[in-house]
Amino acid sequence: MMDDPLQKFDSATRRQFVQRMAATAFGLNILPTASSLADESEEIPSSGPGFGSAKSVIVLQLNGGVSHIDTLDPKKGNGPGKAINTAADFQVTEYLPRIAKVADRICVLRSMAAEVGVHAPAKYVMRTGYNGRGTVVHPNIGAWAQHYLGRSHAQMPSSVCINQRSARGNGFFSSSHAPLAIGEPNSGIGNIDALTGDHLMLKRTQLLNALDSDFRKRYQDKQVQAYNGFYDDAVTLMKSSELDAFDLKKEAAKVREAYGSSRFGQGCLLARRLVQSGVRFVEVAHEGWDMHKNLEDDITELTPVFDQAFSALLRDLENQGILDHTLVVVSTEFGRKPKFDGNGRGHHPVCFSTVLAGGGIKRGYVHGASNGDGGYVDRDEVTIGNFHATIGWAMGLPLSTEAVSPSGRPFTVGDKEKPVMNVFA
Amino acid sequence: MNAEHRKWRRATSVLITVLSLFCTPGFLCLPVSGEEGQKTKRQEKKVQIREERLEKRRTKKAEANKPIDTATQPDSEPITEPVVRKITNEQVSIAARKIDALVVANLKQYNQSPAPPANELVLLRRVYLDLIGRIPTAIEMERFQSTKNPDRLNSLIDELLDSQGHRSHLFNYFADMLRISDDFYRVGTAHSYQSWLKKQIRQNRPWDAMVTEMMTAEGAFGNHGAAGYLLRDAGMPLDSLSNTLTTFMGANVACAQCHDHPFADWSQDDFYKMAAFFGATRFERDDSRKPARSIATNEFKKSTLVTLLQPNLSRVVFEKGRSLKYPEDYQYDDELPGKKVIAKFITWEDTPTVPVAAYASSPKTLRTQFANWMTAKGNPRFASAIANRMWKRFFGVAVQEPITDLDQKELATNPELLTFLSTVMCAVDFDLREFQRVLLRTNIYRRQACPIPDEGVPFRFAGPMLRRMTAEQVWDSIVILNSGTEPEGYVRDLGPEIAELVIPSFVIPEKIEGWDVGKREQVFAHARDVLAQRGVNGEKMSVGGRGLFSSKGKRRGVNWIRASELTQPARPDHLLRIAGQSDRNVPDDSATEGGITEALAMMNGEAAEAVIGNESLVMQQAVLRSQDADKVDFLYRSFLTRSPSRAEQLTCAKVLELRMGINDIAWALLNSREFMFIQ
Repeated sequence: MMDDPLQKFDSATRRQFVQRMAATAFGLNILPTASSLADESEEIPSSGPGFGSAKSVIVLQLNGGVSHIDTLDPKKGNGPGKAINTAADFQVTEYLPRIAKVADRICVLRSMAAEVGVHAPAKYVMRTGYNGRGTVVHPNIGAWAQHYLGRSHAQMPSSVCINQRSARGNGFFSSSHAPLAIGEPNSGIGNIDALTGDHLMLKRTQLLNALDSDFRKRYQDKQVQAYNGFYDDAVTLMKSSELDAFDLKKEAAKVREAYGSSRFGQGCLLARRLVQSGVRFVEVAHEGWDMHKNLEDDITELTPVFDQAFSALLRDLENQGILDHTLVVVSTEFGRKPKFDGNGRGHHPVCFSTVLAGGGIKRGYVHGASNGDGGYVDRDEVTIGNFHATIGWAMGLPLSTEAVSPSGRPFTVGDKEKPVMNVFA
Repeated sequence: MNAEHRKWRRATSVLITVLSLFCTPGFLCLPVSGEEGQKTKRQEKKVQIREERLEKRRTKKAEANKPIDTATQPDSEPITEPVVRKITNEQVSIAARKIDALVVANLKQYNQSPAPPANELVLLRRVYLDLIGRIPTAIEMERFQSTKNPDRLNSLIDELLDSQGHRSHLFNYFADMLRISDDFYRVGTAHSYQSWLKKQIRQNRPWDAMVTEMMTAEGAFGNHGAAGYLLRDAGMPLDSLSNTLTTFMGANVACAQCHDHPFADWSQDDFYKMAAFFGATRFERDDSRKPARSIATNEFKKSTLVTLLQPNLSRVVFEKGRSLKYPEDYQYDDELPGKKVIAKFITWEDTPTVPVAAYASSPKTLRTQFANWMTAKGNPRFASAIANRMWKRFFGVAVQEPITDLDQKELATNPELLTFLSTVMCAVDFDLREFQRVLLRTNIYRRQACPIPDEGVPFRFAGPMLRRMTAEQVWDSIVILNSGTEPEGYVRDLGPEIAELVIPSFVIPEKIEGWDVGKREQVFAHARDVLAQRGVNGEKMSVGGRGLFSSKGKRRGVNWIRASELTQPARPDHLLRIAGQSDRNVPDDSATEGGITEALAMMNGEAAEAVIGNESLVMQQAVLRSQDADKVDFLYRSFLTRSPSRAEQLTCAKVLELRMGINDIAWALLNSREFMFIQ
C-alpha cells in the first residue's frame, strides 16, 4: 500500500523532486540537462540522425485496438485474411491492398509492447506516454512540442484534433497548449464567422470584457483564466488569413474522393491542409477497431476506410512535396490475441504493431518482430516510452529536459526512454 | 397539463403579480435604477401580464404539436406520480448537520475555514442548475423572491427534486456514465435501454434495485431495456466486469485483467474468479443484415427490416454448461490456462466475506448472487461509490478522486465524510432524490463557491468548487432562454415504445438463416401492423429508408428541446458536443474544459444567434419594457439571475446610446464567464 504518490519514485527521483519543488515554487520550469539525473541523460543525446526531421506530425489514432495479426503483421493460417505481397519486402493482409502499394514509403513497428489492455487507460498511455494517475494529467506530444518550441503559427493553433475532443490534450501545461477540437471535418472549424460585422464584433467583445470584469476579478481561477485565453485565441483565429485551411470545400473533388467520403478519410485530408498552413500536430481519430465478435465482418467493413485514407494521405503528402518533413504515425490502443475466441479476438497489449512514415523515417522497412503466432515480441521491443521518444526525437524535442508539473513532479517526452534510432533514415 | 393544473398555475401567477406590487425586490437584490420608482404600478402590471401571455402563447403552440399520449408539464412543476418520502425532514437536517460537522472538523485540522455564506440569488441559480439542469428564468426568480416563506429555499429544493427537470438532469448524468447511445453498440438504432433508464429515474427507483436489474436482466434487448447494460459489452467479459466494478464500486481493477494489480490487493486470479459470475451467461447476437438483405422488398427496405429485427436478435441468456476459462497466456502458476474458473467474490477489508457454499450451488443464480453481494448494504463500497459520485455533482470534486478508484480509502480528502455519506446512502435505502436532498440541506453547500486549487492540492470543501456548467446545463439553459419553460422540451418523439415496434422474438424464426416463406410473411404482416401504429402523430410513416426512428422535430436548424430528449449523443458539431457532451464510447467521459471551438460556438453559433435574436422568448419579453434600464435589468435577471450593479447599468446605458442594441448586451451576457460558471 502506498499512501504517498511520491513513494512510487525511486529515492533519487524523490530527492530531486523535493529540491525542484523548493526551487520552482509550483511554476512550470524547464531545467537544464546538467542538473537532471546524470546517468540517464547521458544516454539520450541532444541531437543525431533524424533529430528534428519532422516539422509536423499527423497521428492516426485507431481506437478500439487494431488486430495486428489481421492487418500489419500477418501470421499464416491465423485469421480470415491471407497475406499479400507489398511494394516493399514485407507482407500485410489482403485487407490493406492500397497500403500494400505504398508500403515502400512506410516503416512498420511490429514489436510494440504495452501493459494496459483496457480501452480508456490504454488510449491514455498511447496518447501521453504515461500511465494515468489520479493526481496529474499528462500532455500529448503536440502540447510538449508547443512547450519546447513555442507556437507553430501566430494565428493558427499549434495542435488540432479531428473526430474527437481535446480531452485535456494540454495535460498539466496551460490550456493555451490544448488542441483545437474539430468534431466534424466536413464542417471544418465551424462558427468561425462573426454574427455581425467586424466593427460591431469588436464592440461586443469590449462590452463582454467590461461586463464580465467583476466576475473575472473575483474568480482568478485556472479554469476561468483558461476561458479568457480560449476567447482571445478564438477571436485571433477568426481574423486569421489561413482559415481556408479548415475548409474542405476548397479542395478539388477528385482529391476529396481519393481519401474516401468517411469522416476519417476527410479528417485525414483536413489534417494535410492544416499542417500545410502551419499547424504542427494533428490527431485524427477512427473508431470501431474493437473486434471481439464477427471480426471477419467488422474488419471487412472497417479496413477499407483506413486503407484508402492512409494510402491517399501518403500519396498526397508526397505529391505536395511535404512527406519528407511530415511524420505520419498510425497508432492504436493495443493489439489483439492470436487465438480466435468466439468469432473475434480479445485485447492484447503485450505485442502489436504501429506505423511511422515520412518525416525522416526509413522507407519500406520493418522494425522488430513478433514471435510465431504474434503473441509476443521476438526482438527489438518498442515500449510506449520508446515510441513517444521516437516521435519527439523526429520533432526535435529535447528528450532529457524535464518539465515540472504544477504539483512539482518532473516529466519528459517518453518518460526518459530512448528513441528507436534504427527507424531513422 | 390538465385543466385543473392550468387553473392553479394561472391563479398562482396572478397572486404573484399582485404580491410583487407590494413587495420590494428581494433583500439581496442589488439596487435598481432610479427610473424604476417613477414607473406606475399599473405599467408594471401590464408588462407582467403581457410577459405571461407571451409565454402562454408559446406553450399553447407547443401543446398543439405534441403527441396526444404523452403527459407533459413545464419542467419546474411537480410530476404527478406520488412521492414517497423515505426519511423525515428532521432526519434530513440531522444528517446534513453531521456532514457539516465532518467537513468543518476536516478544514480545521488543516487550518482552513469555511467560505462565507453565498448570496441567496447565487444559491437560487446553483440549486436550479444542480437539480433541474438549467438556470432559473426571470419569472421564476421573481416568484422565488416574492415568496414570504422563511424556508423558501428548502421548499424550492423539494419542489425541484420532484419535477420533470430533475428527471431530465439526472438522466444526462447516467447517460454519460452508462454510455447511452441511440445507435446501440452492434444493434443499431434502438431505444429500449434509454427508455428503461428514463422510466427508472421517473419512478425514483432505488439505485440498488436499478443496478440489480442491469446485472440480472435476461432476454431480448427489445423487450428488456436493462439488458442493454450487459449487452453493451457483450463478448468482452473482462472489460464488462472491469466497467462494472469501477463504475458501481469504485474498484480499480483494469490492470488485473492482464496481470496482478501493482498497487492494490488484486491478483489476476481474483479478477477471473469475479468474472466467472458472468460465465454462465451467453450473449446471442444473430446478425439481421444478411437475412434482411435477402428478404427486402420495395415495401420493406433492408434498413427498416434491420431496425425492426435486430433488437430482438440480441439477447442475454443463461447457458448451463457454459463457464469462464483461464486464458492461454495466464501468467501465474496458481491456476492452469484453459481450466474452468470457479466464481468467487473478492474481499477487501471493508467488504463482506461470503462463504464458498453460498455461490457454488447453482450456475443459474450466479448473476443474482453477484448483484446481491454487490448491492448489499453490508458492502460499503457500493454505497460509497454512488454517494461519492452524487457529492461530486454538487461540489465539483469528489471526496475521493478519481471516482472510479476507491481502493485506498485513506487517500480520500476526508475519509470520515465518505464513510458517513455511505451510511446516509444506506439509510435512505439508495433513494437518490432523498440523498440529494440531504446534500442540498447542508450549510457547506450554501457557501460561496471556491476556486479550483492547484493540481495536487486537496480540496476540502470550504464550499462547493466553482464549476463550469456541464454541456447539458449550457444547452438546457439556452433552450429555456429561447423557448421558455414550455412542455415540448420534454417530448422525444420515438413513436410507440420499442417493445411494440420491433418484431417480437416469437415471430423471428429460431434460425433466421432459413427464412422460409411462411415466416417471411409473418414478419411482413407484423411490420405492417407496427408501422401503421406509428402514425400516432397524424403523420404517415415512411416504410422505406432510414425514416423509422427519425424524430419529428426540425430536420434542419436548431431543435429547441432539452438535451435529454435530443439524439443520444448529439451529432458531433452540435453545441452539446462542442461544449463537452460525451460521445458515449467510454463511461463518464463528458468534459467541461472548454476550448476555442466552444468559444466560437458561443459567440457565433446558430443557438447563440437565435437566443440573442428578436424572435427568442427572452428578447421578446425584454422589449415589452419601455425603459432601457428595465430591459437591461430583465436581461441580467434572465441570463445571470441577478440585477445589474449601478456601474453595469451605466455601462449598458452608454452602450445603448452608442447605437448598440439590447441584443448586443444579451450577446455579452451569454458569453460571459459568469454565465458559464456555477458559483
